[in-house]
Amino acid sequence: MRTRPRLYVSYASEVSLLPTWTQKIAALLFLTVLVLIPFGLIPGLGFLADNDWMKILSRVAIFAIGALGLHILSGLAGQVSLGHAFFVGIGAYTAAILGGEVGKGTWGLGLPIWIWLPAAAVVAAVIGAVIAPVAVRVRGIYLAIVTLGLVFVGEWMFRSLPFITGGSQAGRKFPGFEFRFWMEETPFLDFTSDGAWFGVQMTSEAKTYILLLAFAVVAVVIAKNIQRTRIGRAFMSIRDRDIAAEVMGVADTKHKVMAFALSSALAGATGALMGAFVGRLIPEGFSLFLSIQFVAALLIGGLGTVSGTLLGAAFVVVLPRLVQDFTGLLAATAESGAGFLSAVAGFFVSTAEHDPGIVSTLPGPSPGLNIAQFNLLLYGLLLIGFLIFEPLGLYGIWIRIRNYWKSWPFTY
Amino acid sequence: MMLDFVVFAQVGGQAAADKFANATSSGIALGAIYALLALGLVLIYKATQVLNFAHGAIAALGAFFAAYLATVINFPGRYVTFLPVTLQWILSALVAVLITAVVGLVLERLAIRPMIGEPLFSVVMITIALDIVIRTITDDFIGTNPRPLGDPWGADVIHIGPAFVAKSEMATVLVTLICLVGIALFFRSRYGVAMRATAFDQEAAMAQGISAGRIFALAWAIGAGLAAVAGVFSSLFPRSIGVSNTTAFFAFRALPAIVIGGLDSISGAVVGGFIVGLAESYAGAYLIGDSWSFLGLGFAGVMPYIVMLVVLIVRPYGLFGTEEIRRV
Amino acid sequence: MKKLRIFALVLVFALIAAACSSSSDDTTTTAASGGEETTTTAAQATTTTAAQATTTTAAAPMEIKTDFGVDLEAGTITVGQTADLTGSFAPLIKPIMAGQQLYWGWLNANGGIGGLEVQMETRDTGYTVEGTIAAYDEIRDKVVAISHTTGSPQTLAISDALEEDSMIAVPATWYSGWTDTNIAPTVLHLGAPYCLESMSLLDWVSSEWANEGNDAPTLALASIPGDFGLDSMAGALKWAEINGVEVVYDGSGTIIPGQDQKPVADAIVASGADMVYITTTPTTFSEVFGAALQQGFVGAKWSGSGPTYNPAFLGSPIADAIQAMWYGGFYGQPWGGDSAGMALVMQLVETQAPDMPANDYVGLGVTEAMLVHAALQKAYDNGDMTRAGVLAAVKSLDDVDFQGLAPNENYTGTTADQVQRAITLYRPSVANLEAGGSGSEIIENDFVGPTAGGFDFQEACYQF
Repeated sequence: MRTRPRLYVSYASEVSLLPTWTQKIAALLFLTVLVLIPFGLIPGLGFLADNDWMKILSRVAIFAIGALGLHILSGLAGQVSLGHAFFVGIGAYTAAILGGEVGKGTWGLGLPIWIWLPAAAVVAAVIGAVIAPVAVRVRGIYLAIVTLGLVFVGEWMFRSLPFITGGSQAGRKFPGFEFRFWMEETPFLDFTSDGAWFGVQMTSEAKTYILLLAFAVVAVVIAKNIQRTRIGRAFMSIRDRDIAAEVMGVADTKHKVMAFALSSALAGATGALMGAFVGRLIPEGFSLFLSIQFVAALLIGGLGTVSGTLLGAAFVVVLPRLVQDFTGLLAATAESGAGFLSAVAGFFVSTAEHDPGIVSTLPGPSPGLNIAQFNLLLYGLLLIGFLIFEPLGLYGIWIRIRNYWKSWPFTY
Repeated sequence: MMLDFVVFAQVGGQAAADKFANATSSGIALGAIYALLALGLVLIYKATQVLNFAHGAIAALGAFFAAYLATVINFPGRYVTFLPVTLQWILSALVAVLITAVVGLVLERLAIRPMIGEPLFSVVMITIALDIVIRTITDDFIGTNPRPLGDPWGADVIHIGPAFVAKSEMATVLVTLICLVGIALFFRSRYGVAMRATAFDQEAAMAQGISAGRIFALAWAIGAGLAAVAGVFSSLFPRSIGVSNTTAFFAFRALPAIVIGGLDSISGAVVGGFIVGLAESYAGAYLIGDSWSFLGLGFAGVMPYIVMLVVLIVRPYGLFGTEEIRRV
Repeated sequence: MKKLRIFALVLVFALIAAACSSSSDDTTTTAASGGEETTTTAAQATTTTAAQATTTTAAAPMEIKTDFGVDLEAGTITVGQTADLTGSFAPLIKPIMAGQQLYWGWLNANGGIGGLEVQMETRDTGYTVEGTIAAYDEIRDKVVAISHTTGSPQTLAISDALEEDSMIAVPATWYSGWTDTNIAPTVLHLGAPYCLESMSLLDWVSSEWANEGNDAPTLALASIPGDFGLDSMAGALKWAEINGVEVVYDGSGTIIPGQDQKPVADAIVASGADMVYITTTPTTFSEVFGAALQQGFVGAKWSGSGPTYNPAFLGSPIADAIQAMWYGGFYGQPWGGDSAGMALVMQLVETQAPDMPANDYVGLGVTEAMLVHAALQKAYDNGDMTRAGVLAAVKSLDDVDFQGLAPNENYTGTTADQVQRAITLYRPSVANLEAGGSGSEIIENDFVGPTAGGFDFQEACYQF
């Protein structure tokens, strides 16, 4: 058994999420590493314990939940959707209405987290289920445009309801990560201040990271579970050939509505968590660009797999920071003036007002793109590159590497 | 006070007619730009089955080329100084459109050709990624301030009946009509018929000896050129003072036009464009004021999308679109 | 195909490897070196106001307390900026950043602060709240003060963190809440708030209207939503109420960027107002103005908050109309004004950034840097350059002098004591632009309109 991982001797082992011992141990190890990162106990990854990296990793966790939602809709059920940002916004503002502070200019009932977080998911799911029967009447590119229209309608709605959203460009405060039993003064579990847990001193960023990691793990389990149940198989059959699926007895509209509802539920949870994490959001944040980021995460990571989605989410969120550090490194190399590398770096980076270069780290006017423009450009180019050269995404690259080493040294 | 009231009542009817005339004329001008954009989008979609989300960015690029050629290096105006200034500017704009068509060719070859046969999702995303890339580069070229195009019509306005029509708006409508006639004539030419054949049934067309690759390239070139024309006209007075980093987002407002008209119908695209332009203009003129404040802010911009959603509920392939025949 | 794939892989790994190895480096960008100074700047350096560094302190610093951002051994002070370098206000922010770079470079060449050199640490926020929070998180442990933040909701979003760190921040927004001592105690106001600016501008425009022999004017208002538009409109509405002027169209918050602006223009034209007060982004302003112009609306006087106007208008088809109809105000001195500060700015630009076009916002950047300089200098003199020490130092300054670049500021006392009421009045002028200026013809410096001067300012005009 140990050398034949594909041999399943029982139905239970075939559908299980982690069938072999290798996979079980690998998953446990991975989870342990993720949990131990904020304590700086992992050699080589100690820099991740800094507050700004903790925040980046927390954002990865939140983004991953949303990406998993889109994975259920687009990766499993094959429905092209550019409207994910709309449901994220719905969830966020539901959480704001239920959990927000009472008595300010915007609506808020001050309810605790165990009400507003599930409610955000449920309300978004309900709205997704209401919109879906209309949306799934159209197919293919028309569905993409309809969901695009949904985003614009959402933007108009959020703009026009200032008592909920705080108004265009102004925004409002969102309820934070504080666990209360009911609306008492001090929460029994507070993630917004540094403190000690079980005797270990932790910053609020580390605590928030652990909490969001837990939520993300729950979302991953949900997504993987859906994949191996009847509903998941129905989704995949619809993705492949929806007419044939219907002929075989898979109710087309019902399952598409279910896919929309499930994906919107996860999107709503993402919105609520995003609001709690950032603290203040403006309605313009739920724009087409946010939808595109989710789709990009899916495509870069690998459409149709949960691991791919997670890889893609991590990539999309960490990319700006990577680019910033990389360009900073290039600028430092160019300025140090040491040898060939410096000349190459100097070609790419513009370090002074008239120094030609592709990108510039100077805040003032200078030739070349600035960091954020370069970020966007790289984002677009990477997307194009992945789509043309590696349609299976980062997960596909990983599979290639794994297969190469599996058959090493006979790799031909 | 009483006199004011009487005078107001007298001009009430006149004011309403003025308002309607102005709303109609600006609706027609706006519709013309939407029709140009829709025409380019539908042309590309019909021939290559790709919905070009990068259309707005290409339009902005075209407008930038026109601004640069006309104001910065004055090409080809420098060499033909015997022509009137208007013609010189038109020549610059034409050169800009040609350059943009070449850019469309290059894009098709580099980014779209490798995506033939890929699932719809990937094709949609690649045009969105192209939009991001082209928009970033164009914004960098444009710089931080809007660039005026240096057009000869400036801020001139003439009266047509009760309506105030800017000369540039008249030019927009005229050029749109010329483009429509041009496209109609093109579809009767050899390459036009070949394009129609490719759009109808690619395999059969290839069996007849039509090079599908060449048709794709041609479709993208013409589509990009039309986008450039639309970009130039959307950057003129009174719509804007020049090409800026918000010009590219204008094209998203034309998407409802092609959906209402049907993605694979040329005439539908044009009709859809004018419908959407007029609807937006009337909504902006009449659906404002305190009694309509429940509609919130910026309803005129989102109304085309709501109309599009309604149309799609009734006819899932658009008003003039052909229903897709799906086989198992 | 295969080779391309491998190449792409290598690129990705290189990116990751580079990032991991460089994450512990400090990615500071140094200010422009001041090596090309002429002797005249040295002479200007020894002026007597508190805002200027004297070149006499060459002695080693005494016991200076520091926590973050000040490295006594390396001899550097790091100030941070969370700036919008790519979003909607980037055209204004880039010259501001250039101004700061020039000023710090000049300061470093003239002795710095007690011999310590000032370095800039800039991060782009994209004009989003998340971007600002992320940018601030990256630099908060590396800097002793934030010399520039962009956007009011963005700055508010980090105001709690700023308070936690006792970090001063200079916003490039004129939201009236920064003067309100209850909101964001570590954020420093710099320049007249939008609502008082509105009152002064409307005072001026209405007096111009009256000087032309007209009767009582009517007023139309339009703005984008958010604090920039609504704070400004709040001031305009208060002005109308105090002066008994009829508001024939109130379009506060009706200008939505990205939409067609013709409805707003139609409403303004239909109201037949004599004065139009409009606060929005330059692009949307040009759309409203153009659409109104198209309908023959030429008799009115237009005005609005500072950032509404963009000198690029003077090269566009609406140039003549703008020259005739726009009455503008600015928080500091526009380019070309005659003051010692502006002379320094112009000289720095000519020698170090000669390709930069004449711009009103460079002076603003220099003003921000001057304020932080005053705070740092006072903290140095107090011997406490911790962030809390810098905060305490700035809160003890009651008369910060910008050498004419901006009206003097006071950071002690109550809200009413601190609020800035003076603005500079200007009119657009193509002649000024062609003569090498920024296109703004200064009409009056340090103007305080009667309504603004007499207004009892106790709290922010617009509450978030």
